[in-house]
Amino acid sequence: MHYIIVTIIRNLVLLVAAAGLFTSCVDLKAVNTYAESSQKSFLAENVPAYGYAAYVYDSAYIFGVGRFLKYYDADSAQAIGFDTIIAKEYSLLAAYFNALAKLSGSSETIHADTLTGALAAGTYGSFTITTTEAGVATELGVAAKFLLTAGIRDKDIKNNLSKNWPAVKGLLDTLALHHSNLQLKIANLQSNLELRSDTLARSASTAAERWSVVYDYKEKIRELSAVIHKYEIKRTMIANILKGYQKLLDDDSHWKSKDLKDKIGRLVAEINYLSNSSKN
Amino acid sequence: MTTQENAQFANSLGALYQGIAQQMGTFLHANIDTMTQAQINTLADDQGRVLSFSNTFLTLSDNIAFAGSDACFAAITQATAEINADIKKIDNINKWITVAAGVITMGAAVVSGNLGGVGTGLASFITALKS
Repeated sequence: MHYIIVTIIRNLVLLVAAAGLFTSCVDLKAVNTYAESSQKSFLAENVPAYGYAAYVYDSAYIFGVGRFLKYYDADSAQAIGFDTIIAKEYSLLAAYFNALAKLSGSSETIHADTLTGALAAGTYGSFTITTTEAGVATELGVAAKFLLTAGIRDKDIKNNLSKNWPAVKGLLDTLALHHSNLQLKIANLQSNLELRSDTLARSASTAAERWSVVYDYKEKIRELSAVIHKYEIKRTMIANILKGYQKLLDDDSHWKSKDLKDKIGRLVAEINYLSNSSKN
Repeated sequence: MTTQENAQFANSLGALYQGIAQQMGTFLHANIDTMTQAQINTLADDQGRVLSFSNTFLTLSDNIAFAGSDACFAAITQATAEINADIKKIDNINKWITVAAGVITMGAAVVSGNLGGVGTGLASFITALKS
């Protein structure tokens, strides 16, 4: 009996010592807070509400000409496809960072179903997903699945971060580029709206006609400016997430240095702020 | 160039043309009360074309398929800073019309893959910018 109690105590001491040894090797708090804030940035509620479909609807009448209303109709079928692609990119990134958060200590439940139906290469109207892009997305999906399953037994987070860096960077770069393209197209909408309103107001024959042009111009310009501002915020957020990942990779203190924690802390605060500001 | 670099290049061209169109609009907006109808029509038509090129480049960027970008990348990169610095200083309609013609020539050359035309367009509007 005495022997059994001693053995149990010895095993408990060894277990605590092993746990202490593990936690003293690496400090996962920085990774965990970074992964959690990044994951929240890519949740469905953060997918831009004003996407390609809204752009096509607006561009049909801001760029369109003709005597009848039918000349200002828009076919949004392709654009809805583009928006679906963007939503999938958000979903994949959220799933990956969610898995990373779980691996580094979060206890929240993970929904792996967001990983199904990853991007497929092909041409979606004027929007092309290259095999490289599709490959990167697939790699990220595989990486997230790995972290959720086998990854839980493989606590070598640094190795996982390093292995997944090309896929994460590839998808974040692509997403930032898609956002930049649409943001610039919306700025072009603004320029054309201003051009048309300026010339229409000048040639208006009555004050009432002119006021109508001015009112519509002011309302739409304000709406488009707010959308552009949100895209600017999203691109800064993505750049910060990339910066955070790079800092974790470059660190050689097992994430224990105060300097790294401070830098990641500042980035996380900024990512959270930007993520909340860009919500729909 | 990799496909990502091609897409980025098309995006930067779209941004360049967007910036030029915006400056044309700012000029028109500020001076519309003193311009003749003919001048307004000319500048408005030119701005419409520049906007159209910008949209074309941005769509190309989403397409990630852009032929011949290596060759014109260097020339346009060199010119971009110069354009951005000088475009805000254009203060008369005639200079705008000359600059717009060069910008449109360059855009058409890039879209059609006529790389010789890129240099011609660049030279004419950089001369106008500096005059």
